[in-house]
Amino acid sequence: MDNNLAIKTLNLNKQFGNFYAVKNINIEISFGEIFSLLGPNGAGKTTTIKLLTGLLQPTAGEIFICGYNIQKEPNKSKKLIGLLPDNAFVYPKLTGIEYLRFVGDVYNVDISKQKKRIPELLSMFDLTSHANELVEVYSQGMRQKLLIASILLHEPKILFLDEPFYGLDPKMAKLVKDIFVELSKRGTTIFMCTHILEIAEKLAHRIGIINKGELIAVEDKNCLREKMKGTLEDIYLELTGGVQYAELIKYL
Amino acid sequence: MLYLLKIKLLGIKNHIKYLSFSGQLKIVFGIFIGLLFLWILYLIFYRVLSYIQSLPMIGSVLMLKFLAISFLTTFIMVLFSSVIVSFSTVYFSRDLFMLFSFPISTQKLFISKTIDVMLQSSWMMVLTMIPFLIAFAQVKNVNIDFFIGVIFLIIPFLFISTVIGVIISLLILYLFPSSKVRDIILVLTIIIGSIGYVLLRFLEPEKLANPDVFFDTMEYLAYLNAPVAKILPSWWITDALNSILIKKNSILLLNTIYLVSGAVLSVCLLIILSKKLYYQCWTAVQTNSNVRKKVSQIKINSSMFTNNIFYSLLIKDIKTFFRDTKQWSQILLVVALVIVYIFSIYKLPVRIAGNKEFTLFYLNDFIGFINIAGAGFILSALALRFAFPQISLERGNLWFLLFLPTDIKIVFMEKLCLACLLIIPSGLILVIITNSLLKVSTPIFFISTLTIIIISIGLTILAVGFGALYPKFSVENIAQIETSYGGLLFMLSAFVYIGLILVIESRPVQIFIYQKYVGKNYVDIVSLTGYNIIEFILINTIVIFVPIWYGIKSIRKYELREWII
Repeated sequence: MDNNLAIKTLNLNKQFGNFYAVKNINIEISFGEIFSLLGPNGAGKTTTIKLLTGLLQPTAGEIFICGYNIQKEPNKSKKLIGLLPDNAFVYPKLTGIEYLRFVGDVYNVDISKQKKRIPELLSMFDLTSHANELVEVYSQGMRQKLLIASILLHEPKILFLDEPFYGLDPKMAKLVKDIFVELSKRGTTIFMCTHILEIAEKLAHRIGIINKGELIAVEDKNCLREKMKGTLEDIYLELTGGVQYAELIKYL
Repeated sequence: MLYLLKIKLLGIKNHIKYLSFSGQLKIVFGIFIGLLFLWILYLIFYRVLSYIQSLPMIGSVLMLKFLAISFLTTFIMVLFSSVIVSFSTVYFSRDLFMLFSFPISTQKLFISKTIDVMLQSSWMMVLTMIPFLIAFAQVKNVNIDFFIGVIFLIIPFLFISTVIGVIISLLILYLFPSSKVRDIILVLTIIIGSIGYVLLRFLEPEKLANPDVFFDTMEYLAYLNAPVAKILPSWWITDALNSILIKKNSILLLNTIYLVSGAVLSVCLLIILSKKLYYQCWTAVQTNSNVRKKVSQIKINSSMFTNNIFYSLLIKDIKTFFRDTKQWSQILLVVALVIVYIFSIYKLPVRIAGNKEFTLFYLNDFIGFINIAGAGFILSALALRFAFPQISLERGNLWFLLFLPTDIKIVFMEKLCLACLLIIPSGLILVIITNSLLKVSTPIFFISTLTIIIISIGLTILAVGFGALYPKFSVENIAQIETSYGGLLFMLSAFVYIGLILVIESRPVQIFIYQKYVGKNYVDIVSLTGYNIIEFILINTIVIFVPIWYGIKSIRKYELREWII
């Protein structure tokens, strides 16, 4: 297996009954790359992330994370990755600092390192003054910031992010974007699903478009624009069949 | 107004429509078990009521008294349950944000939610009342009028008790919008309720069937003829049903008017209160007014968690358990149940042998042995409440647990350990206190204590295993997890398990008691006990290892199709 690749899938398939949620996906993503997966609702983006992080078993195909087969060596793979689900739930009866300590402990982060890193992360995400409050009183944005802080704590080699900018204010969204760019420069791979095309266009090195479970385009964002002519939005709508909706608007 | 109910019915209809064959089989099996349980209840009620009716002179009066007490119990249980259920249904339900954005009047919404609360808090009591009322009707040899009366009168009766519960919760929320104060008030309410329950038991209502405890016959008859809580709807419905039996239409009409006007008055009160308070309360609880402590410097305590996934999960669960005030109320109710049980066991030898100083010397040993079953049932209820929902309660965090860089069996074992921390000490307390009060002989003390420890472990494993096999994630309160199909199967398995243990131990215990009675060893007890030990080990090995294996296998197979289930 190629250990120089952060993520590699071979003929990845996932079926729910007769329905194909993911169909024959083959992707190779290098270390330090920001990969953005775009697609309409129900296209298979979240299912792909769940398969890549070992939360779903593929019906067929193989997944390699930093060279480890995630089905055969799940624990070794999971130690190397961080996952940010869409609109995720956080233990409401833990305080912010307790949640970070808990995540640090389950990922076996050294206590002395936690003592240094947790205050840094809390300060970076403007959560210091709320660190001793129960998560149940946090706003949606604060919870999202806490989750992002928690996945950075164990310094994973790959970050899987499902709608990472959900609930963040513009200032915090800018900070998070800058963090991802900096992490990518340091060699961390970022696999991101988003509906915000501008963010994908600005951040990603490569863009994949998924529709009805099939990966219909995977290109360097500049190549994609040159090939298809137009903005990312035009390309996205053309590939996913969204142009027809413009016709429907007249019935409103 | 019934649109919320319509949505629920559509949900149930669609759930059944899209069920797989195995799912349909499960439902049929669940209904069969439920009916079997109701039939057993009917047999018990029929036997008890037949005996009461046959008592000379006082039979009919005592029957009426029992009918009144059963309706009073239903009234209190529904009221108490609706206070608790209304918090999750009327004020914290997830669909309220959507419903309040619709052009629906607040009053309609509030009444619809109250009907939902009534269904949730009364269905189990109504189901239990069915075998009681059928047995009552059979013993009294009544015709169809009685059942028509029950059907028409029980709706306003349940509605009134629900409305009182909903109004209590509305007032608590209105007066104490801060979550901390509200939690304290709720816990205090439950403490008072639990004390009331314990006190009611200490009054020994079973003395009613024993006229000897009263000074004279007249006093006893006067007591029996007195209505049970005349101002409550439970007496109105009792009196109305009794008037059907004795064919006194004027009393029936009067009590029907009381019930119907009480229900109409409840609706009026609901409309007024909902207009004035409901929206205000709902918005107040959304904005948590707890004082926030400002922190300038972060201090990390080294002993807060540990660098071990199992212990970190355990400490996290213990912290969240004690911070959740809903758990405190449950613990208080469990404490009340345990006190009542201990009191009942304490009184049992005297009750069997008569109200005398003399009790048969082997009776205490016998009750000490039967106590294993009683304590086992209490522990089953505890396991259903605290161990069975463990996996289901992780619904929002399941993604996190499945994503942990460890084998999922660590998570299962941690949940098991957490439940054991609560259930094993409870079992020990129960068996040691009851055995001490009964003054059982040392061998029985030793056998029952050891059995209860093993049963506690077995029941906890069964509960966590069934909880993993039949998780129920889409719920708004824990009661819905407990009363699910998996919960029913767990209780059934728990009863079979306890029954088998008792059967296995009964022979050696019987020989021991008989030898003690005769005063000499005429049978080699060891040879018989050896055979029973093998059976005991076999049963417990199955109960301990099979649910662990299936439970872990089941969690491994979870298909996490949504982040939050």
